[in-house]
Amino acid sequence: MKWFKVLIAFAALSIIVVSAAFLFVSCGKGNNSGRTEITLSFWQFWTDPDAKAVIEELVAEFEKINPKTKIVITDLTWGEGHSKIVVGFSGGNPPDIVELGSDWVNEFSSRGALADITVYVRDLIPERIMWEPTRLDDSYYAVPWFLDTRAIFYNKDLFVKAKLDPNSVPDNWDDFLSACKAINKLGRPVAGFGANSYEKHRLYKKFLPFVWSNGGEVIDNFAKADFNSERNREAFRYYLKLVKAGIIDNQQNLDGKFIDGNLGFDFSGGWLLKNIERNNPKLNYGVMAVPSPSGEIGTSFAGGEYLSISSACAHPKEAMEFIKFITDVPNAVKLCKAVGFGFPSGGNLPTDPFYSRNVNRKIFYKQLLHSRMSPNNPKWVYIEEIIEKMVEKGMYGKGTPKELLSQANDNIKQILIGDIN
Amino acid sequence: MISFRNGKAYLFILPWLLTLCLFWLFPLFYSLYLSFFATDVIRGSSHFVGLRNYFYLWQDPDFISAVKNTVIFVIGTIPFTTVLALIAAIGLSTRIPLSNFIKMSLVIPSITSMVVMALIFSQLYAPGGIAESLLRAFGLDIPANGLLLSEKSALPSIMVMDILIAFGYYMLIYLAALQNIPHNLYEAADLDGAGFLAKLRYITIPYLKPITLFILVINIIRSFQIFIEIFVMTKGGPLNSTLTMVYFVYDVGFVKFDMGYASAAAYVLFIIIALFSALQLKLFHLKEVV
Repeated sequence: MKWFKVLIAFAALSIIVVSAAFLFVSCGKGNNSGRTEITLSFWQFWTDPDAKAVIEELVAEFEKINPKTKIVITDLTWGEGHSKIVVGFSGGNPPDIVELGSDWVNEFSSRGALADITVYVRDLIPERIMWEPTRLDDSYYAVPWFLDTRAIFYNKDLFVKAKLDPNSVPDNWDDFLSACKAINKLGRPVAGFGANSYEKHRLYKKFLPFVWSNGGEVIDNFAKADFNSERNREAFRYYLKLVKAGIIDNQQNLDGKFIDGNLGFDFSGGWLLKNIERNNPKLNYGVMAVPSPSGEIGTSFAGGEYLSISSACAHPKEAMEFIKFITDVPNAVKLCKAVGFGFPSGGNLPTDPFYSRNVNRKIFYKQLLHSRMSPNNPKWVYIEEIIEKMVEKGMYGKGTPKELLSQANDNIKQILIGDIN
Repeated sequence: MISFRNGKAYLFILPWLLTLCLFWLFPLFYSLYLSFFATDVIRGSSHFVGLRNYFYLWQDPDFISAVKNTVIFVIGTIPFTTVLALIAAIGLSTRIPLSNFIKMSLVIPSITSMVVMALIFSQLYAPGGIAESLLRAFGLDIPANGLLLSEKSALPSIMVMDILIAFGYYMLIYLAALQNIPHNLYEAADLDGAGFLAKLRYITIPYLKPITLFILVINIIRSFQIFIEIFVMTKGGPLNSTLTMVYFVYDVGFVKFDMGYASAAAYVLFIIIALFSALQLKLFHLKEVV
């Protein structure tokens, strides 16, 4: 039975290796506790070298001030980050501190994955803005960190070619549509309005601003579907007219076309400011707020990065110290400067020249104050899909706005009353 | 018969066996189990729903579209891929100038990362791209927003891409099989005065039957699992016209994290592939060729 001895030896060796590995890990933890050092894991999405350097710098600064707390950073990507966070929570190995997109907070807080941090943020609430996505049943589950909105980039040279005045941007719906049509008439490769194709989690962010700017809603104050309204029908009809006065493509391609000087109006985010600076600094462009029917500033979509603490975190107080430190306005400004866009959640436009000397960032800030986030509903991920499919059908002529809104409203109703799982 | 006397053999295959059990068999059976549950991944809870997920699938227009598109993709690509591969292999098995270069050129796309190929083809299909110029040269209409953003042309565009990329690999398999056909058969046919077509019909094709079966089976399985092209190029759009079954499973399982429903869809796909493979084996008279 020589083979049996080999098998026993193999099994014994495996046990020794696995035990040694556990011992090694345990020793690491033991050392920490021996020096009463606390290690907090921090999962974050800033992987761009400039931004990552700022994150590391801020973490080092925090550790210097709090020598007993060690922050271990784990990078996430926008492609896979959400899945990794979900797997982290479901696998019982969640991070202590996690960066979440504004429309993810409710998804996790409503399932008990996040710690209730109401007691820690009471003093912060009056100082910061955009708390809505962090609330659930009067409790708070995240702290706003980095905010951004969408505004409309316009090409001044194409304005001139289309015999429009580049110093007088269209601020109402009629003028905006006329400008899109005029530029679109210049012929390909030039297009007027850049309409987003069906991209999950993105299309609704471009459509809802027209709904909100017309006074429409998706869900009412009592969490009931309120999508099939005359205001929304008007907004949908108007949006489809804009689509006809331009091209349909994904956001990356629309941004690319705008940078190349072939798109009149691109509804995009602050990231495009940096991309233009990098790829075509000579582009003659401007930024304008979302138009409304009457000419007042329209309502755009705001997105943001929020920091939460896992409900499994053993040191929420220390984790909260770190969150307060990194979301502090001067520190958040450092991050915004590194990535070239975005705003801290402080509520006032920072005095930093990065903002005060840049007219486009000022317009973005003005738009941010006239922006809304996704409705705070745990079923939003399903509702946004209904809206996006509806818009796509409209763009491809698969129904009238009236029919499509009615169908979408029925579907939203079902989602809101039904048990998804 | 394997007995415990072969213990050493078990020892040597232990690492593979562990991998098989952990990463193949366990997920296979666990996903079947999951398909009867409604799951909440974040909360870590689930409750038994019986066959509900399977019933819901057949009422789900997205799933119906996914099944329809996948079947169209399979039926629309496999005959072309196989015939093109056979023609290329027969053509390149004779001594023609630059045959090695041509073989290499045809095989390279099939061994290049599909993500890279999909990105390249996205550019070729982009508005104003090479594909549009070619279509225009043939007097064909171009969709206003480009080939990949038109409901009618998106899936056919991906199918053409898949055929062009994949046939080089199958050509290589055919080339290897052609080497194994005894030369004396062709010599005897020559003596009998058989022409090219007669030799192709009575010698080449019958001898390639087992390998054709092999190619069809692996190509069908691969085509039913089409995902990367869709993920990179269209994300299932526009209007679900390129939504395929595996993309549907991915979307439900890893975007919405409805693992029970995704598992049910995956098992339906498993059954469809098994049925197609069985049908093929029957059609090709497996007993004759094995």
